[in-house]
Amino acid sequence: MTEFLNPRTLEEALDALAADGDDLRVVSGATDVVVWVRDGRMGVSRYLNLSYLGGELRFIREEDGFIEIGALTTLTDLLRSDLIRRHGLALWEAAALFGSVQIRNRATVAGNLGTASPAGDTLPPLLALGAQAVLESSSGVRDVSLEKYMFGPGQTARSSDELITTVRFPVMKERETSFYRRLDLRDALAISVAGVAARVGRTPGRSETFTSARVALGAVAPTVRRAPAAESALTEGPVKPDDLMEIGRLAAQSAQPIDDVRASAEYRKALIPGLFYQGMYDVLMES
Amino acid sequence: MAPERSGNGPVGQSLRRVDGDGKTTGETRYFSDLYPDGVLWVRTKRSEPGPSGSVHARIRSLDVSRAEKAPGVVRVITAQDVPGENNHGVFIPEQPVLCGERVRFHGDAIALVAAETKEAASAALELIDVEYEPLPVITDPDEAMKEGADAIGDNGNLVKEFHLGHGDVEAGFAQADVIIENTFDTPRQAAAFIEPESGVARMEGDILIIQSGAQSPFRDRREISRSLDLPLERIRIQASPLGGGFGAKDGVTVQIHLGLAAMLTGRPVRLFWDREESTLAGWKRHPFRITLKTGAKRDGTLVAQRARLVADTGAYIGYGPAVVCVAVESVSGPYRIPNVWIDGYCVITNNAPAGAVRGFGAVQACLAMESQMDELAGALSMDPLEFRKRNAIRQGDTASLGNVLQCSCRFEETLAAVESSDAWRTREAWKKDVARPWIKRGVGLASGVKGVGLGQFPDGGSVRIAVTPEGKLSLGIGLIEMGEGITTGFVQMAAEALRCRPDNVELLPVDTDHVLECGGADASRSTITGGNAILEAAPLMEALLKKEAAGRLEVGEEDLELHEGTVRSRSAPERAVSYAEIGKAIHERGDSGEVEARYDWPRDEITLPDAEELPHLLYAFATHLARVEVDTLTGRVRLLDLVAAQDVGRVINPQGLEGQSEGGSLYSAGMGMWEDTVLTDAGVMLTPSFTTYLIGTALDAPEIETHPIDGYEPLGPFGAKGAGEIVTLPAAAAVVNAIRDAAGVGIHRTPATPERVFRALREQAVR
Repeated sequence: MTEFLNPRTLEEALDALAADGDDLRVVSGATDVVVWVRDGRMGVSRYLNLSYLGGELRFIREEDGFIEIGALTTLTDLLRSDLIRRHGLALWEAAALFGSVQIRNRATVAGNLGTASPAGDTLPPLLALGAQAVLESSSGVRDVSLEKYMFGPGQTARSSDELITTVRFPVMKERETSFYRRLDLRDALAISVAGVAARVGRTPGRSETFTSARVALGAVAPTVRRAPAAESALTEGPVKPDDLMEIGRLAAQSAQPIDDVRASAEYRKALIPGLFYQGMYDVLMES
Repeated sequence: MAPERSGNGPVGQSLRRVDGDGKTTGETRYFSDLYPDGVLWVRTKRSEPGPSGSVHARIRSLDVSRAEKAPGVVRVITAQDVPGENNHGVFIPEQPVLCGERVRFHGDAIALVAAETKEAASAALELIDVEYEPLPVITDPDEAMKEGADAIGDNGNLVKEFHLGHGDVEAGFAQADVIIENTFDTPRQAAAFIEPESGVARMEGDILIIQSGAQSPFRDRREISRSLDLPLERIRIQASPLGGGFGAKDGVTVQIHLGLAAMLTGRPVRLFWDREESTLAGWKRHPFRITLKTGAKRDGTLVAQRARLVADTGAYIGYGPAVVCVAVESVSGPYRIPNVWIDGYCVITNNAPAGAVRGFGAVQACLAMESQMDELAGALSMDPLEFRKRNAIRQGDTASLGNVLQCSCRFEETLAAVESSDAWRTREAWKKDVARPWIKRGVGLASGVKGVGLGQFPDGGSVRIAVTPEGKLSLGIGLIEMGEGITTGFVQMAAEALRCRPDNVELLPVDTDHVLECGGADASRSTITGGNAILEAAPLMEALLKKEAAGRLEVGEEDLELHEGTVRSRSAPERAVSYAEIGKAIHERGDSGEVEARYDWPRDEITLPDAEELPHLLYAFATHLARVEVDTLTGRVRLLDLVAAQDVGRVINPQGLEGQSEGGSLYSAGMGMWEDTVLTDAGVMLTPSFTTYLIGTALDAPEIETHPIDGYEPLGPFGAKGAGEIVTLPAAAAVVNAIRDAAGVGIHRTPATPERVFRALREQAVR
């Protein structure tokens, strides 16, 4: 029999996880879980349903130099947020092409993190933005950077008594921006074939030099991952539009994609330079 | 026949759909919405290759004993339970009702489980033990048709071959200044209707009642009768409403299984293929491999074409030979080509079975031919529209099978309509107006020709019209509404012919007990078959109404006319009697108030050996234009707009045609851009669900501008031809041609997925 626990407060939710976390599947928007249940891919039949926690974990705010996003914030909430658009453009762009209106209304940021699919669209932006997941249990709170949070498809650093309560990333400084570009096979309800997100900071007055760069790749490895060679190339010296494809090829060095029905591994890898180029081109042209 | 429009009558008006309110409010109950009391759920055990298995295998043993004992299971049904012939098929009965000896593709039906709940039925499927002995698998039709290939079909793999043409093709090539040759591969498109194959059935006394949406209920009944060993009069089929057909419900899907389960359990049964099962086992569009060698003179005159078409009909023949017939007929396009030779082959493989799907071979042929036309135009440095105009077929011309085009033909006007569209006129400026350097814009066009009706096959249909006690005209036609709006068209035509308001005409549901056989809702034949049968019956009804009125009005019948739902005297119009009064009188007397009439299609006098269906007498024509953007860094294509000019004769309902045009164009564009059921080389289905079988969404749908070319076909009711299929022809090719225009690459295997476009761009860069 399927069983739902419906905690009304965060404390109740954490208590339930402390008691029974190994047997419980945490569910909020259920946009992944419903599909898995129908496909017979759910190993468990007990759910910790976070829907009734709504208000407590549904917020977007600026706090001490960070943008904080509550775990139950929906993709639609992101899309409607000026704070996200200003400080996390990459995440906003991901929200804009995420699923469909109906899915965006249900799907949550923490859900996307919890599923930890390499193709999850919020993950490359969050990784590029330098995000941390705040994991809470009844015995404490810890911050885990996204680099350390994901280590395989569906495999995360969250232990069974913990809940992702907040995701946060540093606010944009002057002359900093971000982007997310992906290849999809249609305009809605599409799964990312390959994606590139980046957060870059430019030297004041000199649009072609970068003081900081974080580049993240999606759907081309078992987890979303950074592309360090491209990051160093961006910050080593002046970057002209003509250099971008070459730096994109450096980014593609970090890709270890697979073949599936959507695309070949070779194509996925070959997409990275172009997607990187397209995002960076817009960054350079804006200034 | 073919009366003129009366002016302001309902024909030619955008009458609101008669089935619209029920379908939009949800009030209409499809058969898949029915859960009768005490219903048993039936599920189908299908062949699964497993990791080391084979989609083609001998069934060494089949053990249902565990399933029979499972909780909730009422009956497990296997091949040995089939009372009649354990096979069926539109042309050749060869597809087992349930496989007893051999499975031929991934998803072949082996057994049925009838259980108290869906869950119990599903669980029991897992308890059916099948032992397979693998057989060789052939999924490439070119391999399957080779001499000495392992046989999949009962009589080998080459089901049918066609060798036709006219003129002297070698002499034609000798005159050519430019000759190009290309091979094109088209996808295995699914019908993907909103209501998958489904239905309910029950025994009422010794009558089997099957309620299941179907395009050819009377033919289905004959197949059901044969396999269930039940006389026709003991089978009643209710076939409407139907939630989308697209050809894939033209032929038996669930009906025999439903009947079998109802007969053997004595309980009401329900069978519903979920999306994955529908994609796996439902009829799909034949993938074609088409090689075209085409020659033209420097001035753009086509002189010769040689075509080779190989169709993969999958594991069962279904409509295969007819589909290849139509492809053979359409592959030369709507052009005058004086020397043509065509070789066509219908081949069995171990792939998912292909059947009748909207466009029926002509779509695939169009995709190849129209890509070829643009590549040839390129080789000649000619404008693709000018090239088509130069070769456009006209009434009286010799068509590609040596037959003379006799029907109305406004193909040139479809070209002119596209030429005068904004999208075409402003194309050069529009293409330059791109926001990013990696985006390239392109404009492409394509034309098509599709035979209307069954060609040389004897064809016809009957209708019954009755005046009810309330004075309504009740129309019984065995042609199903598939969403295309045909019932609204029938109402308009009947109201026009019998001079009353459309709301005074009512349509009976398609039920073998209540309507006469009118053939299948297929081959774009419903408008002409149903419409002309109505026009045959209308004078009989008119006479019946007048006879009754003459007595009541004491006026001679020759002085009577039908006028706005009344019969009145021409000389003294105030002397009139309403249909309601007439109906009441007729029924009070105990008369039926019914008339019946039949329409039989005329046929071309020409006969072509070994191509029974060819040629058609009637053809519809179209030209479509597509505007696309190609992202040259990723290969991603966006389809921005379509212009669709359709020559379908006189338009019965302009809004209806617009709906047909938009739906058909999008279906065609889907074949060009997204849709394909992908199987591995071993025949294993990779795209059963909508997560992997991609259809364009509302966001992907382009703006579509429809231009009906007002024509008049003397053979058609009120001058109409048939619109159902021609509207699906050219958009796919127009998309491919727009991609070529944008990025200079020819996509010869559709859909033009980003990866295929990307690879073509890479190869171009290397060259």
